[in-house]
Amino acid sequence: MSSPARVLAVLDDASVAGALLEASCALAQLVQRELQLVYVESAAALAAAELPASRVLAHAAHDWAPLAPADVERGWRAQAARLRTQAEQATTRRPVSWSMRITRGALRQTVLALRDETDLLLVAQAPTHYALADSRSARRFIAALDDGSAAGHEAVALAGRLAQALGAPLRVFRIDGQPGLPPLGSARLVVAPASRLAAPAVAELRAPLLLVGTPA
Amino acid sequence: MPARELTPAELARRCDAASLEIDLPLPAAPGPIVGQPRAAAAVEFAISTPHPGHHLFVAGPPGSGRRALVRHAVQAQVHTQGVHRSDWVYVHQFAQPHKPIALELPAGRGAALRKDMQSLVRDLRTMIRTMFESEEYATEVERIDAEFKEHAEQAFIEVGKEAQRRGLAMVRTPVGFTVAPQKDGEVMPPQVFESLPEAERTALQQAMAEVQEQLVRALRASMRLRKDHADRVRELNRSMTRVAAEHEMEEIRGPYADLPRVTAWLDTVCADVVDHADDFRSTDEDGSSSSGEDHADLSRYEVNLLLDATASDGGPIVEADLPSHPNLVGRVDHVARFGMLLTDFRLIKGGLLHRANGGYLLIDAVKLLTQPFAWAALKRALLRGEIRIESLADQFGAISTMQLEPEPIPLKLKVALVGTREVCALLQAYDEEFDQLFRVVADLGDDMPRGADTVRELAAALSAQAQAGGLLVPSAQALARLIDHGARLAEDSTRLTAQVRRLLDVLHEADHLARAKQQPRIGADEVLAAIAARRERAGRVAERLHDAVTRGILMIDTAGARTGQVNGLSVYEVGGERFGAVMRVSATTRFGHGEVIDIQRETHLSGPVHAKGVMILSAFLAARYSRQAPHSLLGSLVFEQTYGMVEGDSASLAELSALLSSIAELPVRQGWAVTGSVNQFGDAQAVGGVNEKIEGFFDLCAARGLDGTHGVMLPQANVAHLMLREDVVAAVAAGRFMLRAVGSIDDVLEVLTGLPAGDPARIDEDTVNGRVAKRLRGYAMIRRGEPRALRRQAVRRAVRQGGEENMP
Repeated sequence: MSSPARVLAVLDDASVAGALLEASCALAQLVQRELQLVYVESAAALAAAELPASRVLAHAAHDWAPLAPADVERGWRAQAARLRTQAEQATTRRPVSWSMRITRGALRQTVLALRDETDLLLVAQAPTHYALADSRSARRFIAALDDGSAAGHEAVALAGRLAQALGAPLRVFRIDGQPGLPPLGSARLVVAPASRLAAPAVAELRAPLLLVGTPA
Repeated sequence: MPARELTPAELARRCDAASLEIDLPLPAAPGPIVGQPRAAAAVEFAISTPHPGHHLFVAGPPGSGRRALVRHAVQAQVHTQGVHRSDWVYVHQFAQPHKPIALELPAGRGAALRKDMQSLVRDLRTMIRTMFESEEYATEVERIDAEFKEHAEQAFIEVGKEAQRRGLAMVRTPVGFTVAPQKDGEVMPPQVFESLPEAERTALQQAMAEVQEQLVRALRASMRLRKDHADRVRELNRSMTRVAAEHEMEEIRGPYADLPRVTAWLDTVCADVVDHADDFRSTDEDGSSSSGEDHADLSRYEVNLLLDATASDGGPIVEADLPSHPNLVGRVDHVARFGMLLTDFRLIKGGLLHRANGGYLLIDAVKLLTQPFAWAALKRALLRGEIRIESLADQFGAISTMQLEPEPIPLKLKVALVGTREVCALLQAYDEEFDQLFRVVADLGDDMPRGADTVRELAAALSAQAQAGGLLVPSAQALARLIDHGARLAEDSTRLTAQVRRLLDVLHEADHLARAKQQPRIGADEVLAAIAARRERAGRVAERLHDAVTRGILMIDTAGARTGQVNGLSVYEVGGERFGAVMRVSATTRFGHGEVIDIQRETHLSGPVHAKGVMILSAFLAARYSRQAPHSLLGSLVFEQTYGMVEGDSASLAELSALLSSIAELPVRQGWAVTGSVNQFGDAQAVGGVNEKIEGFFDLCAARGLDGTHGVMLPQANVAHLMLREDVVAAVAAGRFMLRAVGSIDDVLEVLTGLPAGDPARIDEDTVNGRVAKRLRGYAMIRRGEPRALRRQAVRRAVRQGGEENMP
């Protein structure tokens, strides 16, 4: 495998950065690679803001308010700054070399575009609404999805090492031949073979996801 | 009765060493003090009576064994009646944290409760953490979480579906959620939206508004669900914690079942633990945080052991060294944290009253009274019967910070104040509450009778103190000399001083001298040397005065005779030692209006007692010599070369002698000194400090050379007070120095002038009184204005008629 020796962590919302950074720093330290954060600015959000009379229900508001493209851009800048701060703090606790880049588009498309750049790709997707965000205590175990492939075995092995590094229990799920995924909403991190990225259930997953290997 | 010459045997009553052979080791601990049965009975009564308000004031001179008396009575009381003391602890009150609870436990069980609570917290930490890390708990939480998410997400999914159905998309932005029309799965570009027909645009906007409204409703519903979820998780936590807490509490409650207040508090602890399970989950056994976060403070479950009755030093009696307000009633300390002063029940510090509660508290009255607010605080505590910790700073608004109001602790103890008689009298006179609280006053005398038993008891007590203090054993001769010194300090050969500490001080110094000489025991020589050394150390002023007299700077005649001039004697104290000094008392007389001018008083250099003495002798003159004639004398009296205050009437006999010498124009022998006071009838009265006065004059005469012409006259009543130095006694025995006891001024005049005193009513040139009478009658006639010839005639007639009352 000729993938560059780095760990990629992709996210589109700073609210999920805590869990993602904790897992990605531990991973980078474990495999002794550089960590690169990729922050995806949602193009859909800017498009929605450009519509006439567009309105937004802000996270900390109880009613709808006008939304302008400038609001969205300010929000991106604030989130990027917040990400950098969190990354600095996380890498202080687990010293790894890190960088951050910003791209615009959609999270899923970005992940698909980046999957050839690394064999260790972490993805975190914001919950439908902040009101549905998990409490920290609820996310307790690390889930490994084993589809029986070599990448699946690799994912299980890596998940075990990560569970040890993070001090979390490990649960392994056999998913070969199953249409859906077991309930993983409370998982601290889901480790899956990269081939499973295309699965619809993975796309819907709200827990941080680590894709191991390269797609077939 | 003429002046009586004293024999050497009368000059000092030496203790017989043979009567003081003390068997060693000492047979039994002697009493705390010697020869004070009245005071001892009072102390014993106060200590033994259970009635409140019968606190004790032990009044007496310092060093008289006041504290030892109380200690001994307390030990006796404890020996016979035992002592019932409790442990006291302060604990956190969960309902009102600023009002810590005071709990009483039987002696020894306060420490057990503290240990039990430490164990409880440690065990709860382990048990609660274990329970919350169990798979059962995790599964239950997951089940609740999943149920919540299922319900909550369903609402948002419904909104999303409705949006999809109406051609809209829910879009997440960094600001929040928005709803936008979509085309081909993407957000509709603005130009496309603008190009739509008006009706379609309006319909889309209407749909957007409705979806937005649905989203708000879904959000509100999810909030309710989240609250329900949190409540369920909390209830699960409480339930889990209660199981652990009640199991642990059940074990700890058992030993305290007989203490309802303690078990009631333990119930509140249990309830608090259940309410604050997270505090236990976040800490490791050693108190450190498992997650790196600040661990919760569990100190509220600690026990502040204020009084451990089994471990308190001093047993049931506490002696106050510094009875300041906070030391007395306790205090609440503060710790500075981030610029703030914080406190809690653990920082409550007990005071002397707490330590002595159930027992006895011994305080020096002066120390107590000189500490601001301490006396008032003690009275308040005794009157209320409780110890209430009140901050002075809070009372006076000195600082404004978090303050506690600890629950008052019932107070049951006996207070013994120790002080001088003057302090006791002041409190009785000026403090209305004193008599209400301190109903027993043990009044120790300054001295005690010198009976055989008392002497032996005192010797035994001194030996015991020497033994206890690690001193060499004093010999019988040494003890005898100490007894003599005790009589000397008492200023009475028939009594002994009650200030035993002063004798012990001598004994300590004698021990040092004996050790320096490598002697096995303290001998009489060391005792005498120690006494002399103590005088020597304090003798700077005496030495200067003696030097001034011997060099003639202070003019004192000790030879020859002089009219109107008598050697008087005074005494002064330096460093606890008393010294005698010789003063020249001089008098001048002339015709006047019946007045004796006291120059000391006129110049405000005398006290009231001295002024009184001069007035008495003035009255004596008038009554004796001018009963039926105008008293026409003008005299003046002064203590020559004194520049400070003079007080006392012990020189009034000398002053009267000087005055009469002046009137009679008879010279006075300067080899004599006179001490004593005089009353209106001319009787000599006892005065203080006779030993030092005599020795002062003796030292001066000895320095100039004793030739048998020197001596001191003292009142007969003072003979019993004589405890003179051995060298003085030896000089008297050898006839080189004289001491004469006098009963009246006439006795003094005869010795000083060498003439008989004579009848004061009879004019007689050969008697002192006859000469005085003649002079005063002459003054009276002048005052009446009678011619000189008539006056001579009257005098001749008076002489012929033999001294009868014959004034015209």
